[in-house]
Amino acid sequence: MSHPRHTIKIFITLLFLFFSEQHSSAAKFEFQKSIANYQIPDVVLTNQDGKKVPLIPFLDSEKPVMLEFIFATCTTICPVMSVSFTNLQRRLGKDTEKLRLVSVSIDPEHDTPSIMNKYLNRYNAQNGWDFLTGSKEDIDLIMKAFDAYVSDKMNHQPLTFMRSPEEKQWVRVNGFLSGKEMMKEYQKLIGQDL
Amino acid sequence: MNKINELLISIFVLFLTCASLPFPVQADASKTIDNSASDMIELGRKIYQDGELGDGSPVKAIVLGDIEVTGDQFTCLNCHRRSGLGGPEGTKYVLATNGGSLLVPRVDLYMERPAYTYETFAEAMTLGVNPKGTPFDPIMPIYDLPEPEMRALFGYLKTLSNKYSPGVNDVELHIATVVSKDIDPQLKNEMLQVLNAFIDNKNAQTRHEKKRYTSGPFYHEYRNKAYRQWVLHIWEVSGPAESWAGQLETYYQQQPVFAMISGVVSGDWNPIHNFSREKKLPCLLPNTDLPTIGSPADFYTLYFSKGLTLEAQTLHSDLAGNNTNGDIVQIYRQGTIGEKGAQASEKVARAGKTEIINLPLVENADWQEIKQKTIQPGVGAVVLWLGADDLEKYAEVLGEHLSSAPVYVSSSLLNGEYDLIPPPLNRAAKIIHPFKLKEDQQARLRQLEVWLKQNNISMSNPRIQGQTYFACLLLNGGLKHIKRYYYREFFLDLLDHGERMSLYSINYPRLSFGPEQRFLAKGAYIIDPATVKNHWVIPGH
Ligand code: HEC
Repeated sequence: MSHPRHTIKIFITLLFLFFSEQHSSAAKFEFQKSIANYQIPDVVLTNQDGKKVPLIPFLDSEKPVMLEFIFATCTTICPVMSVSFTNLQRRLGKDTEKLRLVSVSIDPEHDTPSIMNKYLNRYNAQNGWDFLTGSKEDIDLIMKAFDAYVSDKMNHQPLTFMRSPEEKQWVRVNGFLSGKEMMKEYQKLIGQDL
Repeated sequence: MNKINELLISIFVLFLTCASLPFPVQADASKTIDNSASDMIELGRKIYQDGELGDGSPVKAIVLGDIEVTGDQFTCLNCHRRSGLGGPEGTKYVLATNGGSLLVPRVDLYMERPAYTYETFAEAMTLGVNPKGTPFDPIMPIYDLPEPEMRALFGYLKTLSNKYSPGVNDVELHIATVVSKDIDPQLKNEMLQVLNAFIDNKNAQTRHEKKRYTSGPFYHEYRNKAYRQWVLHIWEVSGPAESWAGQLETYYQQQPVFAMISGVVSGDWNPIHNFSREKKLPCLLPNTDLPTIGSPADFYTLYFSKGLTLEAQTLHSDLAGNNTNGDIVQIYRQGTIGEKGAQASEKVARAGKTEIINLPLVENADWQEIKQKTIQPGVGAVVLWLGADDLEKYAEVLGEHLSSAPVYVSSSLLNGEYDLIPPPLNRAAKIIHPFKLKEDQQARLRQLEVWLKQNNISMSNPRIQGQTYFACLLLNGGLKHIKRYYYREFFLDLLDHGERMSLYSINYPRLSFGPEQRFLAKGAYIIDPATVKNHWVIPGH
């Protein structure tokens, strides 16, 4: 990297990446979006502070909600999904608390409140982002309700579910979004996509 | 936004990006980075595993095109794994980044490329394209590394999984099981019979498959597969536990093994745990109630559960849940593993504010006095870390005078056989049971019995035989997927993805697997005969 030639190459590539972002993301970021109705099960989960969280009212919030299924020791997929939540909170700045971010553990017996707390700290989570665990039976019910059930947690998909407070329906995204695209989705949720 | 604005912003962004781009070796970087080869490799390891640069600051990267990541969030290790071999993960496939893969061309259709050189590697990391110019999936981050760090990283990757681990050659795979000399010969035999029978069956099958594939149409494909004879070594240790490391070292020098499996010793597993860590030698599912509860970085030993510590934590969770007041009285026989249970419980209690009163049993213990101390006022709970014989004696002096405080019995001390609890305790005592409930175990036990019978073994000890058999299944499962990559770290990486194996568990309920998860079962039952209810407890939940 000490070669000037190298530096110029990086410069040009960044330039290229920037101007072609729209274009290249279409080619590289593969994700599917759909709309669906889900019947949320009436279960009580536990958050990173050990507080009980009844799921239905928690999701029926006056705030827009984004929900993902992850686990604390997951490789590749969850770290990237979580850092994407980190990024969204950072972009929102003061408005962070206007959005409810929910990570639901699909490895609930391992993911205790103290482990979840550490996980959220690692991702610099701000208020408004909760990590929920519960009994394995309840977690299975939730995964099934969101049509996201896998018997082996290692086979899970990168799913993000989004809902605006006025809507009954959820937007289901399967795949990864760039920070910019994620922000766009948020703006759609609050009716500000221009 | 109009084009001019966009252009201005982009120039600004580029300015910021370039300003933060590392330029030729910074003056202070040369201070922190010693150039000796092993220091460079250690620096590379730190970048790869801990996400730290030479000066201790976190590595920075961009993922998904525009999202900043720092090394304390995730590192190469989180995706490429400890072995560097990567592998499938949900819908993604993580390519290998170990020396053996990077330094040779990839001829697969997917992401075909020539071998990496330092220059093309540095380009790949900073630009996100392989040497053929194919861009990576955007979940492979783009890294911002100073040159000395980039070189150190490449140097480390070259050493990562670059030659087979010791204990395996083209025809044999060596494994060892550790036993201590003072262990009950019957127990030792029960374990060894299962290991030997499993391995004999496996080797017979291997001979058959080898014949088929050395000539058949699949010869090439299967040539490097796991068709090696397994050779079991029994490493018997004796004398004081402090001397075991030396004895194990001697065995290892005579014949290195690829992994240790099962095993049974008197006392703590710690000497073997440490040997496993120091030798980077996998140790699969030892038969112990006294595992080492080390840091998550203790990657090499995989346990069924935290054993007596799990029981102790479960006990105190239950006590806290029931708002128990008063002293906790513990009875155990001195010098037995019951004492270890009591100590584990004391350690857990110290974190809270419960008062513990220990009643160690010695030769000719005064049972009347012990009984008095357990039924007097002020006792919040009685915990019996006792084997079947001592439970019998305690029950005898009790007669019908049960303590009004709740009484707990450790199931591990009964080998899980809680039917051995004598009356009146069996009607009142809560059982801390870190195993499957009897009724949930039936089907798997029957299968085990059939298998044992086929091998002329009678089922005399479902716990040790079941645990050992499951350890063999896990070993076999891992090796089935190892293909030709006989690296110990890869083997353990594979086991971390072994969630489906939990279906076959005979003794332990609800196993869960994953990197950093070294204790497969996380909870225990509290069986309460008074209410005929079982309560599943996961400490910390
Ligand atoms: C979030 C997950 C993730 C992290 C973190 C990550 N990688 Fe990768 N890496 C991948 C994936 C996925 C691929 C395959 C990309 C593809 O198929 O397009 C890859 C590909 C590569 C390749 C290309 C291999 C080839 O054969 O061309 C190299 C080299 C590499 N990674 C090295 C690293 C190093 C070194 C680090 C840490 C500094 C790292 N990666 C961090 C996910 C990751």
